Amino acid sequence: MPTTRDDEIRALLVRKRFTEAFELAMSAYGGRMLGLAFSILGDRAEAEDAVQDVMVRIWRALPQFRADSAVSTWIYTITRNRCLTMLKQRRAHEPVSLDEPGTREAAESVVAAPALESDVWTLLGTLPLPYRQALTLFYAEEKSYEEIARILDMPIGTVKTHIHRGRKLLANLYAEARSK
Amino acid sequence: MTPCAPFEDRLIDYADLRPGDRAVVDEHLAGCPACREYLATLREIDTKLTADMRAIQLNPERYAEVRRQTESVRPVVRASRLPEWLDFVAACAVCAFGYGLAWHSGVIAYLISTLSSSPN
Repeated sequence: MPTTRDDEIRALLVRKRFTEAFELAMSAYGGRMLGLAFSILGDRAEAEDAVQDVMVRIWRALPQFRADSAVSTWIYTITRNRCLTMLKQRRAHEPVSLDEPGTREAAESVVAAPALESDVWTLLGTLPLPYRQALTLFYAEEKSYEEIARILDMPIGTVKTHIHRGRKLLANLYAEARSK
Repeated sequence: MTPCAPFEDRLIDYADLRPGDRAVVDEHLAGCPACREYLATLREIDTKLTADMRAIQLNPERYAEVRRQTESVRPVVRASRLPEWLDFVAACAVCAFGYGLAWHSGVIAYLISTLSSSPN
C-alpha cells in the first residue's frame, strides 16, 4: 500500500504508467524544483527555463529511473546539475575573469533582486552558492543530511557545515535587517 | 541580539543536539534572554523558509508548454538484452527438464519402440 507520494510515483513507474507518474511527480516536486533552480541561478526567468528543460528531460528519462534512491532525490539531482551547467555557461559569457581570487565567491553570492516570497528568502539569495543549495534542500522537504549529500554530491560533513554556516549567516543578516 | 559565544553553535544545531547537550543548553537558555532571542530568530527563519519553499508555484504557462512538449516526445525506453537472454536460458532449462523427466519415466523408450515396431 503506497504511503508517500514517492511510493505512489514508484508504483506507477513499475506499471509503466509514465504519464500519471510524471504528472504526480511534477505536481509534488515542481515548485521545489523551481525553488532549487532559483536558489542556484538567482533569476526567476532563468530558473523557469531550467525547470522547463529539466521536466522534459525527466519525462524522457522516466523509464530509466532505478529505485535505489527516492524519486525526489533523483529529480533534484537532475535539476541541480542542469542549473550548474547553465551557471557555467553564463559565467563563460561574463566579461570578468572568475579565476581571479575573490571574484568567484562574489559572483556566486549575487542573486538577482526578485524575491519569491519573503524577506528571509531574499536574504537567503545573498548567501554563497554552496550554502544556498544546501539550505534550499534542507527547507524544501526537510530532507535528511544523507539525501542532501547525495543530491549535492558531497560528504555529509560538508553538508552539515554548509547548513550550519548558512543558518548562522542568515540569523545575523535577519537580525541586522530587522534592526534597521 | 548577540548570543553567548560558547552557545552560538549549539543553538544553531539545537534540533540535532544529543539529550545531554540539550539539557546544558536548556539550562543556559532559562537564564539568558539574548540566547533565547537568538534561538527564537533561528526558529522564525526556519518557519518562514519552510513556508516559502512550500508556497513556490510553477508558472502555469510554462507547465502547459512542458505538457505540450511531452505529448510529442515519448519516454526513452532503452532495450536491454538481458531479459531476452534470460528467456532463452529459461526455455532451454524447461525443455531439458521435460526431456529428462520423460526419459526417466520411460515414455521416450516406449515411443521409440512403438514407432520402430509400426508396419510402415
